Amino acid sequence: MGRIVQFCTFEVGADLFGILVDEAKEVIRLDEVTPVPLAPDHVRGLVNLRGRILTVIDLERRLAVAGGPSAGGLASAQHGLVLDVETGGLCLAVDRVGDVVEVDDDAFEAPPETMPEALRTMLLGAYKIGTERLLLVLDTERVIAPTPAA
Amino acid sequence: MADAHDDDVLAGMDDMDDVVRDFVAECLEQLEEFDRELVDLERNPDDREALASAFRVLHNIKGTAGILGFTALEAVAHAGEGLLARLRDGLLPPRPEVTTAVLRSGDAVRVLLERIGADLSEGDPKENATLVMEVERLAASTTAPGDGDAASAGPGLVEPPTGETATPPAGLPPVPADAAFSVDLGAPGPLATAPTDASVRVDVAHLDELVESTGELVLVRNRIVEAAVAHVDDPVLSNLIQRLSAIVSGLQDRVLATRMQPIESLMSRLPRVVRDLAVACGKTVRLEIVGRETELDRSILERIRDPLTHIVRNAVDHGIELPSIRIAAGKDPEGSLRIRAFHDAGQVVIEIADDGAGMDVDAIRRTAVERGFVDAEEAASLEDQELVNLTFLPGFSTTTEVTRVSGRGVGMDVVSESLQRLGGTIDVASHRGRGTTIRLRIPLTLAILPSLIVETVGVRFALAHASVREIVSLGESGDTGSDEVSLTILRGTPVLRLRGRVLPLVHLADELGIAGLEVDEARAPTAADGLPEGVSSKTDSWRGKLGAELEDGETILEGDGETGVEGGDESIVVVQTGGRSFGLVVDRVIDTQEIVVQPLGAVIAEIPVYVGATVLGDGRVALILDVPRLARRARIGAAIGAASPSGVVASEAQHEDAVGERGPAVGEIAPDRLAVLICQSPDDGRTAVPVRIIKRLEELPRSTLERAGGRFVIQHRGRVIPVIPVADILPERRKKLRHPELERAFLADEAIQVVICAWGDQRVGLVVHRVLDIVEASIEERSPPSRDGVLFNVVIAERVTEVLDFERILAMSGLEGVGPPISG
Repeated sequence: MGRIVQFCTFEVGADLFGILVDEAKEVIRLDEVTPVPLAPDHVRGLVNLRGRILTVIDLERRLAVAGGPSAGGLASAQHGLVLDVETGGLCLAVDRVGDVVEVDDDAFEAPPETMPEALRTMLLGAYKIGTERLLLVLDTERVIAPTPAA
Repeated sequence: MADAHDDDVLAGMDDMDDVVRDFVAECLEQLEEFDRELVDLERNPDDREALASAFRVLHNIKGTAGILGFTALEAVAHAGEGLLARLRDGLLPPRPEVTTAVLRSGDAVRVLLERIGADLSEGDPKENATLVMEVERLAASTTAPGDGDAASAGPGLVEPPTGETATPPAGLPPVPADAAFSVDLGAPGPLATAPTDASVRVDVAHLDELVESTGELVLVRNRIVEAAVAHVDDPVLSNLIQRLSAIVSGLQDRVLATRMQPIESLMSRLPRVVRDLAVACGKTVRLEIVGRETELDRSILERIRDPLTHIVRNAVDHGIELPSIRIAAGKDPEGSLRIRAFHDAGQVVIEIADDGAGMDVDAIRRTAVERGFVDAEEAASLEDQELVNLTFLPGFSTTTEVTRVSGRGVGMDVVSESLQRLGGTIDVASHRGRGTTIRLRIPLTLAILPSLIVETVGVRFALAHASVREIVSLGESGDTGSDEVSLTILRGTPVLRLRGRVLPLVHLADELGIAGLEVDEARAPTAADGLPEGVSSKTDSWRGKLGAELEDGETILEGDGETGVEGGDESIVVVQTGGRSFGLVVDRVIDTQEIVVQPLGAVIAEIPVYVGATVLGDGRVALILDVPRLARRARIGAAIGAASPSGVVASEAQHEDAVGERGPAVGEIAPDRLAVLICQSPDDGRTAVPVRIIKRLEELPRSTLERAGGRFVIQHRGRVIPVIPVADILPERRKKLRHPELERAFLADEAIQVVICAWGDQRVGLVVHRVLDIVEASIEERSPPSRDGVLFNVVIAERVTEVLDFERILAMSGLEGVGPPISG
């Protein structure tokens, strides 16, 4: 039995993701997002959280995950997962927010080789949940790292 | 006061530490003043006030150091003070080595103070023994012979003229205990009468928190005000909200003011830096600082200290020549360095101008090729300004050898980067043999920004009020509703004519690539997510509409209610950046708001069009547009070569007008119409230059004007171009002056307006008083010329206008045969 780790889980497209519980601050609804012209494709825009401005990262675009409800059209992810990031407010746009999941650290494994490259580089690793489901652990630093504007 | 402080001192070690730290902080501040006074003194030996002030600084430090038991500090301050006393009493001339000795004492005092501030200890008490001896020897040995006091530079010497007590022997107690906390013992001064309780030292972190909280308070206030609109009929509530609003505004102003500091604190070290460096290089440099009182947020002040110092060091080290070289070049052997700080368009501008040799563009060209920034062919084709801009590229430095003083591997590229990190910009204008002017533009990003809120395709943006000059509404049908304002096509591009000026237009939606984003306002956020590809351009649609009109030969939209522009109710915000204006086309102007600028997150901070974001009164987020960078992006007002790094604007001298770079267009106008540039003469006459011979319009600093072979020439894009003052060839009818334009510009150091004309391969500059407009005039009704140099007269805009006969003008200026005409 290894250490028990808690993850805050959420879904983007068909995949289940998680970030460490300590990284997530709160969940908000993304109602009024101000678009940022000329920004990288995965930047959804800016939202106001009690006077603080957060940059919303569209995870679906960032991770190039296909098959979600918003695939092929306008982004529709309406839930924002606010990250506790020192460098400025950030928020991940996700399709559904799930429960906090406890996993055994021993169950940690590398991201499956079969994953698309774009997605795999954004992951720290994965945990098997039950028999069939994988919890993909997001490398938040990679996700929020600035990329050259498209 | 004295008792209180004694109590503090006795109250315990913690209190004692605070006393010492306060003492150190205060003394360090005074030392900056001290350095400046000393450098002033060297320049004006008779400046008794500077002398007295420097004397007081050391005197105070000495006194308090004695009380607190810092003997080494006391000894150094005492020695320096002794030397100053000799200077003050005229017993010692203020020669450089004397000043250096005093400054060294000041440095030693600073080192000791910093050490005390860090760990409350002075370190080795004998460390400065040599310095003290040297200073005392200097004070004693150079005393005028026959002076009765010659043997001693020590204390108790002479009665000072200012009425201060003479230096008391160390350890004696005539200095009252509270002297440590007031700046002055007796002489009048602003601080002398200000007891300690008039100001309090506050941790900067507290101020930052205050500013942040106040910003949030303002936002909440704004939302309350909006929410209360529904309850206007409640007098109690309205009243309360009005009160709240007023108090919050006042609070905001005052809180922000606490963090503002005059730029003085940044400049105070510079005289010393310049002086030491000049002495080390064997140069003499006169430093002039204007605008010390200009205020800037302290967090920004701290961050421009190093770049500014670097630029100043560069100017002295590399810019200003040795006196012998300056004399040989016919210059004043003393170099001049001018630093000017001022507010402009919501930004602080700091200008550093030297009259040295200017940048060596050939060296830059060589280095650029060596380091592989450009290839040889490209380098040869680069203009001087483009070469100067190359020095901002990371890793570029023309000094192959790291010089002792300012090399250190830190070049202009690093300066430029630190400025950009602040959201500022740097411009360099360099003229070989005449010096370099560097202009830093620094935003007040942390301040509250009065802003204009505009909207385009459903997205709101804020524009700093300071950069907005006026708003032109096109109305329902695109009609500007005024004779003074109209839209027209110039060389295929829509432009705005505003009271005789021609301004380029920029469609915000086009510039941001969101023109196709026509969506319902409420749904904008979601829809904006996928910015459609291949969107139609607003500029194109305008060009189509206006172009069609133009073929009919009419000015577009002028009082013509039928001529609609797509999305007809657009507004044009006339904005200004640097010395240039342009019209920013938006869908509508919402209102004016005071906004709190918040920085952008790292993911989008690199986008070069925004200075930050803000929460509007209704709780929505709006991006704040960076007007200078928007202009640069739209290529307005600057000639930037492809090699120029982003974020660097060309100098204003290179600014082009709306017609710039498009070259002469021949034969596009029907024979009975002529496109002309209308110029105003000094006595308000009108002259016109055919547009087809015009290459560029330039506003050039006077310094580009040179005399060569009995005429004026300018250097322009690597060529020497003769210039002809039109007012000289076609003299004023009311007053006659010789070279009125150029001589006046020469004397007044004004900018000159030059119309660069092409004559075959040759270029000739026409110096005009003022450029008014570019129009296509009907020349059917022309009348014969009334004097030589004029092709014909024609009535344009109800004024008799003389159309210049360029070929004749060349001949009259003795320039005939410089080249064949392009076309008959």
